[in-house]
Parts: sequence; structure tokens; C-alpha cells
Amino acid sequence: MSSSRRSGDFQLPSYLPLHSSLLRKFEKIHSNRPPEYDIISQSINDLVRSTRDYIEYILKKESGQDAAIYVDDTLLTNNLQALESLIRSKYDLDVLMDSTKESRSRIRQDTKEVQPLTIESLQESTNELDVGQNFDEVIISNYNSNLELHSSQSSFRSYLSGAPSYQYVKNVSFILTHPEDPLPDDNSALQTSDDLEVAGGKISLKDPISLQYFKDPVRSKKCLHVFESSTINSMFPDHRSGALIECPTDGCKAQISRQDLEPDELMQLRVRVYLAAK
Amino acid sequence: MSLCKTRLQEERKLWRKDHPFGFFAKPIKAEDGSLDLTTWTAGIPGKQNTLWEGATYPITITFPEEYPSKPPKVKFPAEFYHPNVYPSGTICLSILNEEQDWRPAITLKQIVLGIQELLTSPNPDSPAQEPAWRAFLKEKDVYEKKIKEQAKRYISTT
Ligand SMILES: [Zn+2]
Repeated sequence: MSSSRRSGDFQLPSYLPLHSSLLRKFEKIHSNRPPEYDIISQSINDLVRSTRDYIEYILKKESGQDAAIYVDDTLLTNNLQALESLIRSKYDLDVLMDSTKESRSRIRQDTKEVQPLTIESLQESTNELDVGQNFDEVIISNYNSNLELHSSQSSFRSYLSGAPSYQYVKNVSFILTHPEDPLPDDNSALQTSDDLEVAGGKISLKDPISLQYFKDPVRSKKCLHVFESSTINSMFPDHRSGALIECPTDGCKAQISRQDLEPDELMQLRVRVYLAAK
Repeated sequence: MSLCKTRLQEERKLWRKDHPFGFFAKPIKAEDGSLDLTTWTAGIPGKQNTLWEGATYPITITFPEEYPSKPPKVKFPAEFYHPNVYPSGTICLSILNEEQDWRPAITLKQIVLGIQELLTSPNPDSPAQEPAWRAFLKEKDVYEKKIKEQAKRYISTT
């Protein structure tokens, strides 16, 4: 690099620190999420909401109108695929945003460590070879390493299965076509053990206390057993809110209170769809 | 309709649709000819290849108003010979005991299968009558003879 010091044959050094005003500009541009991000989020929300509306519509039907439930398989499949693509786009944007954030702090760090570039410091900068990576190189290399880390199919799959919106639409779609079957690859604690209300691989759609089909099912958060709201509530000895009873399911050791019961919308959906198809 | 009545009607429907082989169970007829869902008669077949085979043992099942919060009371005829049956005929079985293993979700089918199991597998830790309990523990030949005699009294009609 001795040639760069010859006068008349002026050459810029290979590394130039980013001017602080440009750095500020860069940081300002990338401190907010890109507009696409919000558009994608909005689309995901819309899709989930329309699914929710459809389910609510089914659940609100009077039992006399049961026969009118019409399930369009193709629509459900397309719906789920659209949701998956949207979540994939959001995921990719997340990767980009994360890597930009890392680049930002690295560039800020690099800029702090060197003198701002002036005519006076040019000579010095030229002598300090390879003090840093140029702006574009930092961004590209960071992005590539992040992409490599996150782009594998399995890492997206686990992100997808952790997304509540996807799980919801997927479960609902499954139940609409298979009201009596356990959810596939459900990892909830009890699904694997045999004490879930599965008989011959089917889920019981009846309250185990009254033996009638569920109308207003509630699920115990403690053991995931499902009961008809009115019958399980009649099991509690008094109106004290904290009173505990043994779970009415034989073999279940859970002690449950009224507060442990939450509406089980998916079970309600199962019963509606099943009875409508009967 | 009360929970007790609702549940018993469903139990009856379920039983008529499907029940274990060799068993029977039905509500008794009240004086006026209507069905009394709170009292049932049932028959428990002795398991094959045991001392109890070839006979169907009669039981009476009485459902309290608080059923299924509380368990039904189940009785063999008085003086029934079994270590876990009281002289009155009342059966001592943990799933029929509210303080022990009774749960509202236990069905009639589970109850009758539990009783069939109890016939051949008595529980020596909860004696309910002296003669059968003593013989079961100390005089096996007397016990076996008594059980076989009893089986003849309840010989299956089919
Ligand atoms: Zn439970």
C-alpha cells in the first residue's frame, strides 16, 4: 500500500468510517419497523378474525338449524396455506430486522473507535489498514449469518407451531372436518396419556357426569378434563369461590375450583359440527 | 329434569345400545307399571375357569337422589357368601365408596365389571363378613366348596 502515499497518485483508504451524520440518518431510517411488517400483521389478524367470525356464526346457530352447517374443505385448506405464507413473510422480515439491529450497533461501535475522517486525519486513516469493515459489508455479512441461522425449515416450523394464530386456524379447520378425532400432533400434556377422554381413538363429545352431549363445555385448566358447565358447577358444595372438589373423572387426582374452569370453544365446535352431520 | 334422572336415562340408553357379554341390567317396574329409574336389578356372570363360572349372581342397585355426586348402593341377596359382602348383602368395594374411589364419571358398566372382578379377587384387607373371610384366608377347601354350592343356586339360564 506504499503507493497510496505517493503524491499525485492519491488513493482513498480501503476503509472509511461512516460520517456521524450519515450514521444518524441510517439509524433513523431503520429504527422503525418497515411498513410491510404492519401490513402483514394486519392481514394475519384479518384472517384469524374471519375464521373466528365463522366459528361464532356456527356456535350461535340455534340447535334446530344444525343441519345447515356447510364445511368447504378447499376453502379451509387455502385459508391455512395463506396464513402460513403470511407468517413466513413476517418471519423473514423479523430475521432482516434482527440482523439490521445487530449491524447498527456494530457500526455505531466501529464509528466510535475511530477519528472522524478529515483531510488532516486522512493520512493516519490510510496508515491504519483494515481498522474496520465497511458499512455495506457489515450489513450483508450480518444478514447472511442470521439468514443461515433461521432459514432452516425446522426453525420456521417450530416458530409456526408456536404461533397462536396458526394453531387456532389449524385446529378449527381440523375439527370442522373431523369433529370426533383428537387433534393431530397436539403436544399438550395429557394428549399422550390414556386418561384423556378418548375411547377407541375418538374424543367423547358427552359430559361424563350427565352423559349428554356438551352444550356449554368448560375445561379444567389443571387436568384438561372437560365437563358441561351446569353439571360440574352443581358438584361444588357451596358458593364459596375457592371451594375445591376432586375432579369427577375416575383416576384423575386433580383438585379443581370454579376458577380452574374455562370455556372450551373447540369442544363446543366439535359437538355442533358432529350433531349437524348426524 | 334432575341431574340424577337425566344421567340414569342416558345410562339406560347406553346399556341398551351396548353392554358386556353375559350381564343384564334394567330398572324395576314401579307399582303403577312405570319404570323406576332409581332402582335397578342386574346380573353378574361369574368369570369362566373360576369357582364362580356357570352362574349369574343377582344384584340390586339403588341410586340416591344425589347420584352421580354420590355412588349407588349395590347389594347381593342377604347372606351372600363372599369376604367383601356384608351379611345384609351390601358390597364393600372402593369404587362404590364416596370416601374412597367413587367418581361421578364412573359408569354402570364400570360398576358391574368391577363387581365381577371382586367375585374372583376378594380383598382380604376389608372383611365384611366373618365366615367367608375366615375360610378364604384359612380354609381354602371349605371356601371353594361353599362358593361352588352358591354357584349352583344362581345357575345361568342361558
Ligand atoms: Zn381431571
